[in-house]
Formats: sequence, structure tokens, C-alpha cells
Amino acid sequence: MELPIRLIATLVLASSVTAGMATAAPNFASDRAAILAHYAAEARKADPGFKGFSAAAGRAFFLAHPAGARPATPSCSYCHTTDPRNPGRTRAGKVILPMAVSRTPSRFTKLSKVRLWFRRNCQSVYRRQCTAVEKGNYITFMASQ
Amino acid sequence: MTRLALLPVGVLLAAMLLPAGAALAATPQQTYTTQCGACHMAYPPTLLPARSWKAIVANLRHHFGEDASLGRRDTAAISTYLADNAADGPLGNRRFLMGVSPDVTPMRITDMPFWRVIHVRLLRPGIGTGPGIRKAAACNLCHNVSGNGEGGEGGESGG
Ligand code: HEC
Ligand code: HEC
Ligand code: HEC
Repeated sequence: MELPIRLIATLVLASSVTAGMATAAPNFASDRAAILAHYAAEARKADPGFKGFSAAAGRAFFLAHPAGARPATPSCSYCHTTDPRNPGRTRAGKVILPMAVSRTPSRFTKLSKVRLWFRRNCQSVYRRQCTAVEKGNYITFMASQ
Repeated sequence: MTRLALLPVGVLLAAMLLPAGAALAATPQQTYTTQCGACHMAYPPTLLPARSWKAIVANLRHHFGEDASLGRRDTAAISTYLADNAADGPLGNRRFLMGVSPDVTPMRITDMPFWRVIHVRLLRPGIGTGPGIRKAAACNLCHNVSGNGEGGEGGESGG
């Protein structure tokens, strides 16, 4: 009886050590920096004079109520709330973790997820795809919150 | 007892033997739970007939006032999962089709006769059907059910 238990303990230890080595702790800051660099490169391609992203512009974009928005989704802040450090809520009643990176450190760290939601939410609110500059500004604003 | 104690060892060994960093591809069910559980609970597929799921998945760009569209691969995986597990699918439960006419395609679980019979008391004015948010679709507000996605981790995407 004693042996298996000690064996299990050893194996648990061993496996957590190997797991730790195989999958390094997620580095959210560098993943987010890579996503910002991706959008910066896109922005520079569209405009060689691109100077960098602006948190203030990102904030304005987040709070704006664009004229052509779908009635159900008048602004980004409609679901994410005007203070991104607050949790938001979907129209179907589900809680959304805060957009602010200080509150949800894993925000904007997976490019496929970031692209999916920009594509949908820009379409719903702005009735078009957002530009690379708008996306970078938005992430820069949220990273400052 | 000894055999019970040894079982986790095998599991652990198997886990250790997996090649480092091997990300197991998401199953269709996981894709469904993640993507269709991002804005509301991932509804149990057996609560609608296959034709309803087909119509819903075919029109995700205009999904109850929102754009819920997905990449082609995720859409295909979800379609298969829903067809298999729909009320009239091979793994579903036909009981939920009670009272549904074959030439009607309900677009909401909350429009299904079984649901309306069970929730007849909730359907009194003020609960289920106000403008804007139809709280009735938030089953988990009243029922202790799982079915929450991780916020639509894009398996693939565009834009
Ligand atoms: C109808 C509600 C709603 C509106 C309006 C909305 N969002 Fe979101 N947004 C969500 C939901 C739901 C998620 C996924 C849940 C999660 O990530 O926690 C999300 C996720 C995101 C993400 C992914 C975040 C990450 O962790 O990578 C981005 C980026 C985003 N939204 C940007 C926007 C922008 C920009 C706007 C306005 C143009 C906007 N959203 C408007 C509901 C909304
Ligand atoms: C971007 C957000 C979003 C995503 C992603 C999403 N939905 Fe929805 N869904 C909604 C909204 C909003 C409603 C309407 C909720 C209400 O009326 O309260 C809804 C309603 C529904 C309903 C009707 C519920 C009822 O009985 O009233 C079904 C069924 C449904 N969705 C299926 C799906 C499936 C399948 C997927 C995945 C392919 C999906 N949804 C992904 C936003 C979303
Ligand atoms: C506002 C609260 C509320 C919401 C929202 C709600 N239900 Fe219910 N549900 C109830 C109550 C209360 C009962 C018990 C009915 C009774 O005794 O009158 C019930 C009963 C049921 C039952 C019968 C078995 C059981 O667990 O008692 C099923 C199945 C069910 N609900 C499914 C759903 C589904 C699926 C949804 C979402 C589409 C949903 N409900 C949304 C309150 C709710």
C-alpha cells in the first residue's frame, strides 16, 4: 500500500517538472508585444509614415458610437462597459472578463483569437473591418488600463 | 485498492510519454463548446432538430443581431457535431421533438414546444420575451449547467 502512494507522489512530481520544462510558463507580455508588432508591420505597409500606436485614439475608438452601427451593438463599450477594467456582459447575458490587461493578463496574447473577435465586432459595430492602426490603438489602450 | 491506486500511475505515465509540446487537436465537441459557448452557454445539441442547427450555422454572419461567423474548418467541425447530436441525430434524443411540425424549423430552443410546456410559468409577461435581451436563452441563469466556452479562442480566423 505504501509503495504505490510514494510512487504516485514521485511521478506527480516528476511529471510536473517535465511539464514545466516542456511548456514554459506563458509569457503574456511578449505574446502581446508580438501581436502589436504584427499590426505595426501591417500599418507601416499601408502607410510608410506610420509613427506608432496611440492609447488615446484607442480609447476614443472604444467609446465611440459610430453612426452606422447595428442597433444591437452600438459601440465596443456596450458589451465591454465604458471602463474596461470592469467585467462586461454579452447580449445573451454571459459575463465577459475585463478587457483591461491589468485585470485579465491573458488579453491579446493569441493572434487567432484577436483576429476572430476584431473581425466580428468591427463588423457589428463599425460595419466594416478595422484598420491595423485601429486594432493596434485598441490593444495599446487596453494594455495601459 | 492496489489496482485503484495504480491506475493514476498509468495515466501519469501516458501523460509523461506525450511528446513535449504536442498540442492535441481540439475535438469537434471542444470546438463547439469554445466557439458556441463564447456569448452564451453552449446549448446541448439535442434540444433542437438537425435542420435548425443547419440553418443557424449557415447564417452565423447574421446571428440574432450579431456577427458570430467562424473560419471554414471550425464551422465544418461544429456542423458535424451538431448533426450527430441533434434531437433527431444518431446520438440525440427524439423526445425533444414533441409537438414540432416537420415543416417548421425552430431557430430558438425557447421556441420549442417542449421548452414552452416546461417553462409555462416563466412565459408570463416580463421574464422570457422582453425586447433586447431574451433572458430565457440564458438557461444557466436558473439552471446549474456547464457549457461555457473560453471566450472564442480562435482556432482559425480571418481579418
Ligand atoms: C455584442 C457584444 C460585444 C461588442 C459590441 C464588442 N465585443 Fe469584443 N468581445 C465580446 C465577446 C463575447 C468576446 C469574447 C469573450 C472574451 O474574450 O472574454 C470579445 C472579445 C474581444 C476581443 C478578443 C480579446 C482577446 O482576449 O484576445 C477583442 C480584440 C475585442 N473583443 C474587441 C472589440 C472591439 C474593437 C469592439 C468594438 C468595435 C468590440 N469588441 C465590441 C463581445 C463584444
Ligand atoms: C458573438 C456572440 C455569439 C456567438 C459566438 C454565438 N452566439 Fe448564439 N446567440 C447570440 C445571441 C446574442 C443570441 C440571442 C440571445 C437572446 O435572445 O437572449 C443567440 C442565440 C442563440 C440561439 C437561440 C437560443 C434561444 O433558444 O433563444 C441558439 C440556438 C444559438 N445562439 C446557437 C449558437 C451556435 C450553434 C453558435 C456557434 C456556432 C453560437 N450560437 C455562437 C450570440 C452568439
Ligand atoms: C428564468 C429561469 C429559467 C430559465 C432562464 C430557464 N429555465 Fe429551465 N426551468 C426553470 C424552472 C423554474 C423549471 C422547473 C419548471 C417548473 O417546475 O415549473 C425548469 C425546468 C427545466 C427543465 C425540466 C427538467 C428540470 O431540470 O427540471 C429543462 C430540461 C429545462 N428547464 C431546460 C432549460 C433550457 C434548455 C433553458 C435555456 C434555453 C432553460 N431551461 C432556461 C427555470 C428556467
